[in-house]
Amino acid sequence: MNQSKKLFSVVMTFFMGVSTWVQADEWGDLAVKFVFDGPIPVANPVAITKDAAFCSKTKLVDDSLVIDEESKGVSNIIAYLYLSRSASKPPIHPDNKEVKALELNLDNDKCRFDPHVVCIQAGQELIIGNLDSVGHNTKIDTFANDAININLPAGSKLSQLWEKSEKRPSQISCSIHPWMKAWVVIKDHPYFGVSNKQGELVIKNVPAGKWTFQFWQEAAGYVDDVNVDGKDTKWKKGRVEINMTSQGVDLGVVKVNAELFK
Amino acid sequence: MYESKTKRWSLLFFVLGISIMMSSGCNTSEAPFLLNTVYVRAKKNEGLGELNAAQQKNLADTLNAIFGTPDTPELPQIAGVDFPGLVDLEKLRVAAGPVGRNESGRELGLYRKHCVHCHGITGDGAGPTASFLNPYPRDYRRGTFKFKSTKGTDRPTHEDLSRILVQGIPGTAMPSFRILDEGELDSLVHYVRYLGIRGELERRLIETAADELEDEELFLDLDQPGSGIFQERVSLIKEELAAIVDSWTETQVTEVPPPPVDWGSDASIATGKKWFFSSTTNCSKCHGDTALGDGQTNDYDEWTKDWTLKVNVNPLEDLEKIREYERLGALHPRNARPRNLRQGIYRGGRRPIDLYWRIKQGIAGTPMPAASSQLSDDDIWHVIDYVMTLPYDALSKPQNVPENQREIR
Repeated sequence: MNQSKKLFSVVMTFFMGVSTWVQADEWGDLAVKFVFDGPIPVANPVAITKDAAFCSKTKLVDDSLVIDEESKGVSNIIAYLYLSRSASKPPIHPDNKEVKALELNLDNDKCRFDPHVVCIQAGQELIIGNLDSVGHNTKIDTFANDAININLPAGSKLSQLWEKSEKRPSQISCSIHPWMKAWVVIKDHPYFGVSNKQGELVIKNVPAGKWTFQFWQEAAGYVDDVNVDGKDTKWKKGRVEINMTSQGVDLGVVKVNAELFK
Repeated sequence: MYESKTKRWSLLFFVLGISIMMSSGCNTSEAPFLLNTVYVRAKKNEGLGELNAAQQKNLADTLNAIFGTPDTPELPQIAGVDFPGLVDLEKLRVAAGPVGRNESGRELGLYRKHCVHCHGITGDGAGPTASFLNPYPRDYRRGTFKFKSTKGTDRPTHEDLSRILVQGIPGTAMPSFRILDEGELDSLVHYVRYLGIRGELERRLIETAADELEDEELFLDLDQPGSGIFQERVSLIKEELAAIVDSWTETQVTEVPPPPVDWGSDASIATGKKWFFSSTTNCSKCHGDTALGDGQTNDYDEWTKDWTLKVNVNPLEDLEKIREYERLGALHPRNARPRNLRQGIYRGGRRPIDLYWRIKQGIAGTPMPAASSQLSDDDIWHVIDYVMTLPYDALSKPQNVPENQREIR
């Protein structure tokens, strides 16, 4: 490489870096609360087609859309930092560096998956366990990584690790018990989260600067039809741009149009 | 006009480090590769962008610039990406193109002579006869193949694909092509892989286009070749193609240990039976308590799920969306049926080693899972022992029903 080319590439690297360059000592939390905008639908009981003696012991309902009666909060809305192909990797907060070494768990418990959504980093270990006395199998349909489908005998465990980041959440299912569904978000950064029973979602220690977050829910796909502060808003492809500061960013109460889940 | 456009494509790729040899004779009667419009629609149903006609044509042109045409296939000449033993251009040219012979009398156009009516010109498994067949012919464009010696969803080996050509697939419309010579079979295996790699890149480009493109934006805008986004997309093509090639070269073959010494004995069969009905193997859950394949019968395979259940389209409820897909060439969704183990017909081959691979690794693209590590290799052999006795079991004997009234699964 001759001198002028070298200089050019240095300059280019500098310019490309500027757009996402941040003070590594400024961090803030992203918070949002999702509530259901419309009459709360009744969750249908699932048809127990296999192992009825065991799986019918607990009342199982369709968990593709879970809304809290009291707060109208929508559970299991997934958020993650959206990075374009050319974007540089975000800095990682010191608190987050340890996280990747921790094992996460996904259990087959009473013929359902617990938790319903797993957010995991590429290279982090997931222990998939079967706490039931019936057999399950774990089928995970990843796109960039090899898909898996492995038998999980009663009382057994298996360890799973993904090397690559996945663009969108991947479905976890059990072929024996078709109602069993869960989702895994696999990213090469820790900036993701999932809404709790009250619809609250917090992503801690996001580096200061401009970022795009993407919101997705299994029954809705991208969460794009919302109402923020009384205004109907389109979040195109579920994407929202935020400007993180050390004060944090609170998107407030976001009403999600009921039609989105149909 | 077409010619000059073609030259523009080639020139641009050349400039960017991908050198493409485009066929110069693009006459309009040539059979074209068809864009995977079902997948384009699936991405729309998933909530990604809807690609307009110009964006779709741009993707089809991009793929043709990389892979050539059905008459004149090309190999992408990309720095850092080669196809070691996977796709050989000379072999592709024997399998591709119209049926005919070269000067030395060698038969050409083998794919169109033997395969295209079921598997389609693009390898989409939707040739003219496909809708009359059950099961449907394989769609190669996922790179997923069921009957193979490799791990989980790993790609098949050359021998795996060639075995299918030689043996055919019992219980399906796929015949044996034993009549072809070794060189011809070899060419077809290369051509199937070529269609598979092409189809997989196509899926990934559609995925990216639907996710990233703005309303009128083209995936590769020929008027903006110097733009950062153009170069970014070209490097995306390179990266994706390299990853696809890696998945074919890094495939892991399953080692098959010898069966235990008591294999074939009554004790071995009894052990296998115990495992068959256990919660360790879960065999009977899908294959049924009677092994008639009637346990779990309402699931679908991955080729179908890609445009239905995975994108929130229920094949039994969202009929309007299913009809839209069918207008785009999709075959009507059918359930994946677990095999009836009492017939003695094994699609992936009837040798014990074939059954070992199926049980140990599962069947890629289907609900059939791989065995748990809790099931020892010896126990897999015992299960095979039991399964192989099932066709001879009293229950499997023909019932006293006239031949033409018997239900065939």
